[in-house]
Amino acid sequence: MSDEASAQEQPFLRIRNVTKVFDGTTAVDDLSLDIRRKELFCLLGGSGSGKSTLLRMLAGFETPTSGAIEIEGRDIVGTDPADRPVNMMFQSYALFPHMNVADNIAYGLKRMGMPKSERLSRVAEMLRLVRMEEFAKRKPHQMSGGQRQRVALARALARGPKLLLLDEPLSALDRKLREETQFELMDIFDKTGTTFVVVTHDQEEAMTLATRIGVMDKGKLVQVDTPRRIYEFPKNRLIADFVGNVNLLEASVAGDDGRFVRLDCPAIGQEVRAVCEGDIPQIGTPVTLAVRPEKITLGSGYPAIVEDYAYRGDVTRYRLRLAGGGILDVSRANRARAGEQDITWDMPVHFDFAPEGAVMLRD
Amino acid sequence: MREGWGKRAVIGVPFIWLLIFFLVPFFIVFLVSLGAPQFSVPPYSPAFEWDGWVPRFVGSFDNYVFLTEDDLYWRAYLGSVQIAGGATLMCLLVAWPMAWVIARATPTWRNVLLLAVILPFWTSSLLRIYALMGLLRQGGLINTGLMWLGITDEPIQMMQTDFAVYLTIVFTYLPLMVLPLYSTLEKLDGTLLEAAADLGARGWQTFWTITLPLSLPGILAGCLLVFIPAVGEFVIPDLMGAQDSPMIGNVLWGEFTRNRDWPVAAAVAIAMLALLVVPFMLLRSSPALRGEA
Repeated sequence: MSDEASAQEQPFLRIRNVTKVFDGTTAVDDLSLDIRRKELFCLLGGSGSGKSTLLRMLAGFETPTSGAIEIEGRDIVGTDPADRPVNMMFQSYALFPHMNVADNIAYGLKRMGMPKSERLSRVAEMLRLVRMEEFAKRKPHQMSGGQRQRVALARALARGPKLLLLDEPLSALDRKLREETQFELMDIFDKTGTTFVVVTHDQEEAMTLATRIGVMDKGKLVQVDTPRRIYEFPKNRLIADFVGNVNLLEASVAGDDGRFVRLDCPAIGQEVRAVCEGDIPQIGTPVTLAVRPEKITLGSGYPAIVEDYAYRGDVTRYRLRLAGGGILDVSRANRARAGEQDITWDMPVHFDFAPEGAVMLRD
Repeated sequence: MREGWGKRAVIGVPFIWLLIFFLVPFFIVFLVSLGAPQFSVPPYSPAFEWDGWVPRFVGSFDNYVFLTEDDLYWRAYLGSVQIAGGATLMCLLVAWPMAWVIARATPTWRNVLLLAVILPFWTSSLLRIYALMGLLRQGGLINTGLMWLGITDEPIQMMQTDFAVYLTIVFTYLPLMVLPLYSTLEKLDGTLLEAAADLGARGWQTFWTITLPLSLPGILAGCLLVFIPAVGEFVIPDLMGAQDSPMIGNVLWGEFTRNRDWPVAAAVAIAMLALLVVPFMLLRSSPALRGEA
């Protein structure tokens, strides 16, 4: 029984202590990560964080300097990219310019030695999946970016990989198309049941797509969590700042009231309460108070002065000058069409936030 | 308006150049080919006579008919195409790997290698041919070396053979093949090769299905650049080749100089140009080669 249980619990993809050094610079630094079957995992990070290098090691284009990469318990380090049960959708799509859409999709199938009749039906199936049936005879340069993106996805999925790697899959699309495509990509993910690993620098993309996000910085995974937890309970200032907008205020620990930590925040000029993950540090420890702009309400509470505001259609963004001299961003949804312009420049206001909506960060 | 004139002038100058130094001489040569040889200055009869201001055609196409009757010309033409074609193919086989290595080298090495390809071009081709003669002749470096090593007892006949002609053409025209190939291969997106590997292609499969097809424009340009001048080549076969297998360029030279038959020489020149240019123009306009390949 225990054997069966451990076999089920074995992660699909296991990255163990992987390090990659290029000419003395460490791109990926002793990184370990387990990814479960049928997960849509997002590697999120800025440029130079090592996320693309990690992806290229999974594809087999780079060999780790040390460490192991296992798929279903089998080490694939040293296996030729052609022999891995892994396919990749490239950021540039890398469609073969001299082949039409059908030939591009069939390319990987031909290399498998799949008989022609089977190949044709597989290509048709893939074209249906990405809704590109009528484009089978087009050449890549005769299509828009969005269409090329779908063909690239179909080509990468055609061989039925166990693991699909997507390198910045939506970055080449314009904003509107990107939002539509995100949902389409999730739909295709649900239909295929393949494990996806997506690399992106776009936190919104990661939040929408992923079942779990791994935030990378300087070759290390800083936090691995669900999108909700990454956003609501970022581990440090870097993640809080990288994922969404956040107010970061200097504070020090003042005490413990059972559920929350009490913080002295000189910028606000009063004691505030916030969530503290783990043990509460000693009284007087310098920490950071993180509050998202949309968690703050205007009306009653702490005093401030409106320094500036920006009407953005769906929300209005207020910039408040605090009693203690700091700056605080507040975002308020424009629920009614009129009556939202009651707050204006230099007006004294009061703001408040629930202790559940604020997080204490250790660093 | 003024900008329009400026642009036209910039584009116009090369066209005027071509008109004066290519089209007009071409037309003169064509007129010469319609005359008959005679002892005079110039040594041919004119194609037109003037009745006051009205030109009257007195030439004939006899010279062209003559070209088809004497098989010397056909053989020379076919021999030229064969030698030029063979040499072009050899050039391609040598140049493709060279261009690939240069295109994939680090920027520093790339410049060094490119310079190594171009550098021989800066010396006179005649000098390079004479240098090759020094290597290939009976008492030359290669034969002396082979005999010293005991591989042969007597010198191998290399000069005045087709081998020497092929070798010299490949040697002389190699940069013209390497450079267009290099510029195509240098632009080749490396992620396409990664994508092919990712989709299960082995090294040689990637070469046949991706790299080679995508280098076709460079192959075509390089082959044209080598083949066309090689067909008309006359110095190399004259100095290196056997006397009994003249190329069309040597025939042309002989007609002009030894025979002093300018009209037939002009007809040979016009026929050669037509036979070369027309097929290539058809080739260029075929969508398969012109297009997206």
